[in-house]
Amino acid sequence: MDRRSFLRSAFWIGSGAWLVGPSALWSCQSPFSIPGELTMPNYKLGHQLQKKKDNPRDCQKLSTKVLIIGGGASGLSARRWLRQAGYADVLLVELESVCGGNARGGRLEEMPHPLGAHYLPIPDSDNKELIRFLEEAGSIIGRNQENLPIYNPYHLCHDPMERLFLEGKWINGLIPNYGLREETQIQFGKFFALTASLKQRKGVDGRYLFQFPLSEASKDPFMTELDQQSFSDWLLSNGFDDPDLLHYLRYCCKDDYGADLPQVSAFAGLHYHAARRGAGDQVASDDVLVWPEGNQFLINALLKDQEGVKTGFLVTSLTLTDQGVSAQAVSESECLTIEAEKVIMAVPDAVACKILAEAIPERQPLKLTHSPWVITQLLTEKLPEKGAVPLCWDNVIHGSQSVGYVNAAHQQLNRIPQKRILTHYWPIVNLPQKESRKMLQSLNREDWLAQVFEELKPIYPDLAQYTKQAHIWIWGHGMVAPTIGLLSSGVLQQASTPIQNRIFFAHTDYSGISVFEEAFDQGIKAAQAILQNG
Amino acid sequence: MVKTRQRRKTDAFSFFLLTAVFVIATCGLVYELVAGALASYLLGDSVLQFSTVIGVYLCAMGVGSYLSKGLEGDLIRWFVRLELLVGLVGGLSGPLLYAAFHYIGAFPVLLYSLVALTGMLVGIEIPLLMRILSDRFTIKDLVSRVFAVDYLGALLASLLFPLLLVPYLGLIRTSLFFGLINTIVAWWILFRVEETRHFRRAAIRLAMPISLLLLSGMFFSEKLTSWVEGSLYQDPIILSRSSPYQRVVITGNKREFKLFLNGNLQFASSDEYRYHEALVHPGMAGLAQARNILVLGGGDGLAVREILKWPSVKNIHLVDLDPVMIDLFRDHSFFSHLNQGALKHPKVTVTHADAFQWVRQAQEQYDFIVIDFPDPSNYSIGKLYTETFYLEVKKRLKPNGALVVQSTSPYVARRSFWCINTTLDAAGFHTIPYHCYVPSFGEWGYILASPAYNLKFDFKLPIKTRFLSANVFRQMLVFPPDMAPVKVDVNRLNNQALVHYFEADWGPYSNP
Ligand SMILES: Cc1cc2nc3c(=O)[nH]c(=O)nc-3n(C[C@H](O)[C@H](O)[C@H](O)COP(=O)(O)OP(=O)(O)OC[C@H]3O[C@@H](n4cnc5c(N)ncnc54)[C@H](O)[C@@H]3O)c2cc1C
Repeated sequence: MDRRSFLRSAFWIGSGAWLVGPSALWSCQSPFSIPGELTMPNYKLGHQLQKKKDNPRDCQKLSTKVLIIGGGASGLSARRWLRQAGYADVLLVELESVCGGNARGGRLEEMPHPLGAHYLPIPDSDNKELIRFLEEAGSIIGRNQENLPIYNPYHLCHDPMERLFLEGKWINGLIPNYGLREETQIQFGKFFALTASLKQRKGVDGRYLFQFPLSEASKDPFMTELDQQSFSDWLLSNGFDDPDLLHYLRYCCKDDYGADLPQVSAFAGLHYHAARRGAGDQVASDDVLVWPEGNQFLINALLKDQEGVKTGFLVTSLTLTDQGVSAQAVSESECLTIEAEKVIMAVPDAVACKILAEAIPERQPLKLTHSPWVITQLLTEKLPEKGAVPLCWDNVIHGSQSVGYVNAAHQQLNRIPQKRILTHYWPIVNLPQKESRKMLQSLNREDWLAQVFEELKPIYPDLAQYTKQAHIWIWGHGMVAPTIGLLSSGVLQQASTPIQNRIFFAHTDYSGISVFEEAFDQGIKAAQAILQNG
Repeated sequence: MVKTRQRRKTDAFSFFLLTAVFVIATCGLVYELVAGALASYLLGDSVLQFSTVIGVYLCAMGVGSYLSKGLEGDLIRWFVRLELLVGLVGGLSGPLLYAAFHYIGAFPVLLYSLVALTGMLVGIEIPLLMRILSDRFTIKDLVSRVFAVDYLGALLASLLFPLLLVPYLGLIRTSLFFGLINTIVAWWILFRVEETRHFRRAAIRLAMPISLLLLSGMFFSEKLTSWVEGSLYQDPIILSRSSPYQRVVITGNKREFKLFLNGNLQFASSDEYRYHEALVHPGMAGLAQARNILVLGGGDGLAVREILKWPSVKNIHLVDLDPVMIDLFRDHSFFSHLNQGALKHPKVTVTHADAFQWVRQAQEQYDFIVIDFPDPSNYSIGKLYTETFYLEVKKRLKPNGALVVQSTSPYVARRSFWCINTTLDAAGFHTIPYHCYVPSFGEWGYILASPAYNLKFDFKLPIKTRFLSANVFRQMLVFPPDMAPVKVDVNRLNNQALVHYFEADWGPYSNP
C-alpha cells in the first residue's frame, strides 16, 4: 500500500468510524498520527566537521588551563576530578545544548525518561572511587556495621525488576523458568556455575580477571587468550550449544554491547556475567541503580556546578602552540578560539582524529564497531497490562530484534501512575556500517514506529490508542563493541596515550566497553595524568 | 365458499396479529422494567431511577408512534423487520447495561440512549399493527381490541417480572429471553402469513443471526454476569463507582452492607466496629493524651469516627488517595451516617494524596498515626508497607508517639503478618503485635509500633466501646501456636517480600 492509498483508506475508515462513534475512531488510530519527532544527536556534527567552517577572524578569545572537549560521562568525570583537586581553571566545551552524551535523559510532559544509558549495577567494593562518587550523588547513604555501603532505597531498582514475554505470556525474570528441556537446564546451570567461579578468579598478577574498570583488571595471558576468540566459538568449544542458552546470551551481548555473539570476544562475553561482585547492605550482587531520568542522574551529580561549561559549541580543530594548544569552536552564531595549556579529548575516537587532523596528521582513527541504537519514547496514558506479571522496570520480548523496553516511571512511588513513558531500545546489529548508516538516513519516524508497534502488538494490541506521543531518538554510534582482540591488542592504550603532555584522551571508545564505570574511570585517568605532570 | 375461506383466513390472520400485540406489549414493558431495575441497582435511588426511565421510555414511544407514519409500502415487511430490531435492541439492552456498569461514568448515557431507542422502536409497533389491521376491522373495533390486548400484555409483564422473571431468570436473561420472543413473533409471522412469501428469504437471513445471538446470549449470560462481577458479590450491588485508582462497590442486604475496593472486602457494616475499635483504641489508650493524629488510608472515615471519641484529640489529618471514597463517605448521607459525619467534623482535615509522596514532603509531626491501607496484594500497595516507607513515616512521628498498622490476617497470611512486624522492627520501631476476631474477615492482625518504648497498657478505656476493653486487649496480645511468629524477610522496595508472601499465603484461598 503506498502512502496515498493508505491515506485514502484511512480517510474512509476514519469517516466511517465517525458515524459509529468516537470509541471506534480511537481503535483504528495508527501510530502515524501520534505526534512526535525523530532526533539524531550529533547528526550535524559530522557535517560541520567535514565542512570545517573557515576561521572567522573575529572569534571570541578564551583561555584556560585545561580544556575538556566533550561533555559526556568521560569528560565530566575528568572535570570533576580536576576541580576536586583544586583546578578551578577548567573549561568544558560540549556540542549539544546539554551535557551527558549517551547518558542523557529527557522529559515529556514533565515526566523524566532516559534517552540512552539508564542503569548502573552496584559497584564492587574495590571500586573505591565510584563508591565515593555514589556517596556524593546520594545513592549511597551510609555504611552498615560490616562497613558495607547502604544504598539509597529510592535508587535501587524496585521489585519487580524484569520480566520476559515468552510465547504470548509474561514470566518473571529474564530466564525462562518453565518448560525448559533438561539439557537446557543443565547448560544454564553449568554456565552460571562457570561464571560464578570466574567471578572470583584472579590472574598471576593477583588481580581479578574480570573487573570494572578494565584498567584495574588482570593482564593475565588467560585474558588475552579469551580475548582472541569470538564468544560464539568459545561457547561451542566449551559445550554450550543449547539454543535457549545461546538465545539468552545473545540478548545479553546485544543489551550490553549492541553486538552479536560472533562479533564480541569471549572475554567480553564473559565479562558481562563475571565482573559483577557488587556488595552492599541488603542488596544482591545483581541489584542495579536506576532513576526515572536514567543515567542523566549521574551526569547531574558529576556536574554539580555549571561553572566553566560551554554548551552548544562544536570544537572543529586543534593546533599545537608554544604554550599548549589552541582550539576552534563554533556554535550556530558564534565562534571561539580557546587557548589552553592542556586538552582532554573526551569525544569518540573518530571525532578526536578529525579535530586533530592538522596537529597530528598521521593519526588514524581506530577501527571500531559501533552499532546504532534506535530509542523509542512512548508517552502512554492508562495503557492496560494483561496477565499476572505486572509491568516491570525492564521488559524483554523473547526472540525480538530489540532488547525490550523500560518503564521510566518504575521508581515512582505513587500508586498506579496513569501516565507512563516506555523507552524502547533497539540496537541495529549485524549490519555493515555502510548499510546501517544508509538505513538510518532513509527511514523516517513513521517507518521506525511501524516496526516498534508491530513488535509490541502481541503485548499491547491497542497501543496506538493509548499513546499520546511517540518519539524516535537515534544514536548513530551508540557504543563501542568489544570485538575480537580489541581489548588485548594494545591499540586502545596506544591511541589514548597522552601526546606531548598536552593532549590527553578520555572516552569509552578507549575502554572498548561502553558503560558508565568505564567512562568514569577514563575521566579520572586523564585527569590524574594531567595532575601528575603538573 | 370461496368467500368463507377467505373470511376464515382473515380471522386467523387477525388473531395472529392480535396475539402479536399481546406479546409485543409484554416484551415492551419488560424492557422498561429491566432498564429501571438495573438503573436502580447500579445508581441507587430507585424511585428516581424508575420514574426517569419510565418517563424517557414513554416519551420515546410517543416519538416512535409519530414516526410510524413515515413507514410506507409493504407494512407487514416493515413489521417483521421491526420485530427483529426490537428483539435485538431490547434483548441486548440488559446485558449491555450490565457490562457498562464497569464504566459507571458512561452508564447513564448508555442507559438513557438504550431506553430511548427501545421505547422508540416499541412505539412504532402498535400504530404499525393498527395500520395493518385497519382494513379488517372498523376503527371502533380496532382501537378497542388492540388496546385491550395491549394493556393485558402490560399487566402480564408487570406480574411476571417480579414474581417469576427476576427470581428465576435474572435480569440479563430476562432481557435476552424477551428479545428472543420478539424475534419469535417475527418468525411466526414469516411462516404463518402468506403475504410474507416474497421476502421470506431475505427476512430469514436477518432473523437467523439475531436469534442465534440472543440464544447464545442466554447460554452465556452466566458467564457474562460473572465476568462483569468476578462472581464476587453475594449481595445485590447498591452502588459502584470507578475512580482512577480503584473500583468502589457497595453491596447490601437487609442486615448489613459491605464495601469492596477492587473486589476486596474492606468492611461489613455489621461488624466493622470490631475492626475499627481494635485498630484505633489500643494505641490511643497507650498514649493517653494524643492530640495530633494522622490517618493514612481509611477514607471511609470509620477510624476517624473512633478517634473522635477521645476528648484529648485536637486535630485529625486524613490522607487518602481516592476522592471518590471520601466524597461518598462525607457527602452521601447513607454512608456518613455510618461514620457519624466524621469527615465533616471541624477537627478533621482531609487531603487527597498518595500517601508515600505526601509523607515524604510533609512537615508536621503527629502523636499517633493510623495506617489503614488495603492489603498488600499488589506491588503498588506493597510499597506502602516497606521499611523505606516506615522510615519516612517515623519522621512524621513525635519522639513519644506511636503508630498502628492494619496488618492482614495472622492466621491466613501468617508470614505476611510477621513480615510487617519484622519490617517495622528493621525500621527501628518497638512493636506490639495483636489480633482479634472480626466475623466478616476472620482473625485479623494489627501492629502497634513506637520509636520509644513508652506505651502503657494498664488502661481503663475512658470511652464507650462495643467490643474493646482492657481485658479483651490483654487476650489480643496472645498469639496461639498456629499464628506464632515465623522468621521472614524485611519488606523492601527492592524485594517486595511482603507481596510475595501475601500472594503465597492468600493464593490457596482465592482459587477454591
Ligand atoms: C542506547 C544506549 C544505552 C546505554 N545504556 C547504558 C547503561 O544502561 N548503563 C551504562 O553504564 N552505560 C550504558 N550505555 C553506555 C554509556 O552511555 C556510555 O558508556 C557513556 O555514557 C559514554 O560516555 P562518554 O563520555 O565516554 O561518551 P559520549 O557519551 O559519547 O560523550 C561524548 C560527548 O562529546 C560531545 N562531542 C562530540 N563531539 C564533539 C565536538 N566536536 N565538540 C564538542 N563536543 C563534542 C558529544 O555531544 C557527547 O556529549 C548506553 C549507551 C547507549 C547508546
